[in-house]
Amino acid sequence: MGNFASLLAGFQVALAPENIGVCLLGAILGLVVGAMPGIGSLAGCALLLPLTYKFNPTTAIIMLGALYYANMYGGSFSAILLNIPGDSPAITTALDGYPMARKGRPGQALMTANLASFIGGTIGILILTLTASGLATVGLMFGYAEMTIILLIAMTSISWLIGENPIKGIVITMLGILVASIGMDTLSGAPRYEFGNMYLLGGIPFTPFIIGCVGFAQVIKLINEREADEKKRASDDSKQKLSIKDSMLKGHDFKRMLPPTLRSGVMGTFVGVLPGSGATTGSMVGYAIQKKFKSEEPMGTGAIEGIAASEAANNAAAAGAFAPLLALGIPGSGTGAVLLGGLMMWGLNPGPLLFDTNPDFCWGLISSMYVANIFTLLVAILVIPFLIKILSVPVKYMIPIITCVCIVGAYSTSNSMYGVIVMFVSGIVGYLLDKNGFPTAPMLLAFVLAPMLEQNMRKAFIASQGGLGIFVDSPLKLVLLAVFLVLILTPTVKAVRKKLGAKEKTKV
Amino acid sequence: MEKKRFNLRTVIPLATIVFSLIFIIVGLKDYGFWKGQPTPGFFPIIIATVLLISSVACFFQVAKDKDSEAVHYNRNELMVMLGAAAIILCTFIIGLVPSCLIYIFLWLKFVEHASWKVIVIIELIMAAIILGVFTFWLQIRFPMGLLLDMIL
Repeated sequence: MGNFASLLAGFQVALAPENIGVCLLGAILGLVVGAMPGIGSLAGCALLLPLTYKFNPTTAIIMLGALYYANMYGGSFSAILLNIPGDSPAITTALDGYPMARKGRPGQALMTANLASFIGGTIGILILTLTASGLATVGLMFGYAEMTIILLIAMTSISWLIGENPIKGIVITMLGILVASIGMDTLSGAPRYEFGNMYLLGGIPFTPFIIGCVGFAQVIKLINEREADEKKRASDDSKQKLSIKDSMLKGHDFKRMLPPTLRSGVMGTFVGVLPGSGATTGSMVGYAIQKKFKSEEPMGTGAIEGIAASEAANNAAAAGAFAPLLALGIPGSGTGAVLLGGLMMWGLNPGPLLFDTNPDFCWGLISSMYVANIFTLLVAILVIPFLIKILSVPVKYMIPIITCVCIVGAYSTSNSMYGVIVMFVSGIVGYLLDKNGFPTAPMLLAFVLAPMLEQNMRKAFIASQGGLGIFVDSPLKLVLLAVFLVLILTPTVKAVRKKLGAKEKTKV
Repeated sequence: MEKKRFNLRTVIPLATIVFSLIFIIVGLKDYGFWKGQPTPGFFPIIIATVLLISSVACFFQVAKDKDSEAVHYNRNELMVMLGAAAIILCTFIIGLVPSCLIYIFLWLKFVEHASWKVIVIIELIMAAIILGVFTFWLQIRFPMGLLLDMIL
């Protein structure tokens, strides 16, 4: 009951004219960025972070939240119409969305994606409303040692889940932590690893680093997609005409999409809450589970059930990911890490106390997600007739535009060319890492969480005077430690078994 | 005799090995590890040690792996990097905003061979974003460069 009273108070914040305006702006930008193949929610949030500097923290996070959320809707547009997923969570949407469009039902495929996203998202936000403050209360029981283990779990789980190679996951995570330790010691304020450089004394600035690793690295990769993009555009698929009237779903279609939407909505939320999983894992799990159920047409051939399961799960996961972010200060994904970095930049300290110290902010954000969900659905439906035009912006024109946005954005957040140079260098490093199979999302997460991990770890060691017993002296810590060990050992055991299996095969 | 080719994929683990060694050596020398309680070097040294061990393991894993495809870099990717580097260098001479707009023009005209109509539309949109959003709304003062500083 208390949660709903707080939610109503939150609506007073969310429905302020300024917040409604930015929510709508975030929804429109999110749809456009999501629809553009190759940009994605992570790069979208990173590139638009500088635009939020003018706002107060609540308004700023409402805009970014709406943008992230709308991105999930937008990703399905190009997946359905061009067979190019706008973002990784839309990969599974393309499996049935594009075949359905090829069967002459592109409008209904888009409408299914929009409605499933809306229903899945609403389920996610409802569960977030019910559980977020409870999770924060649990978080209040955590001391330095518990927080240290939880942060380690968050960092390792994203490494395991994103990449196939656990060793590369560790390398990239540790690299992110070390980069974050340049500048000043988090406890004493003493200079550290600045190598006599006055710029490094202030550390590696967060926003230019993120813009580089995600945005600029993405542009460098995007140039290889020019030719494929041109070929796709030259095909007949991109010359269809769409109208809202022709896109409406019939009663039978709606009946087919509802059960997978509801199922994936609930499941996607819980996947989103897990550290490291995020919307991509959500949509993949949603689609995989749907395969176990009956669908009128076989999955992968244009089944409405497939689109609904994938889209409901990714939107629900996007909403669910806000629970650990707000309640524990632990982002579930790379995009969550950008949002967390933004919160810290605006002077907020996400964690168990946030619901007590800044209730307006927390509940305002949660309420705004309901508003953003409705806005995004309306815009997503109204935009259907113009989608072909929006998607017709060729990738080759986006390259110089995004390059300049990266440079201007990096300068504006640091007011110095140092920020631009950090963006440039981190962009090249991010590109090289990605090219060699090192995923950059764990590095961003580690970069954001590193100061928190260091503070908690050092305080735990100060309290125990160097003893390791502080990490195993209660049942809760033992459970957390067991989870951490399972996370580390599972992929290693899997890799060893795979190798042994391959060796036995070659012997036979 | 067959010539052994250098595996480009080993560059990243080699770089992280060097990076971690620098952090361990500088950390131990300048910041210490433990003086009754953890010192500023405590946390980075632990992390750098884990990075060193995992990088060595990664190096051998990558070097042994014969199945994965070789990494290919192409000229176009380098052009994007050089374009951004040119904007940064030109910023010190003619300022950031003109550098960006000139870069967009040159890229669209000579790399993408875009039509004048497309170039004008994109230039206008970008000028509106940079000047309208960043300069007037966010009140960011972009660097003017040596030339504009002398003139204005």
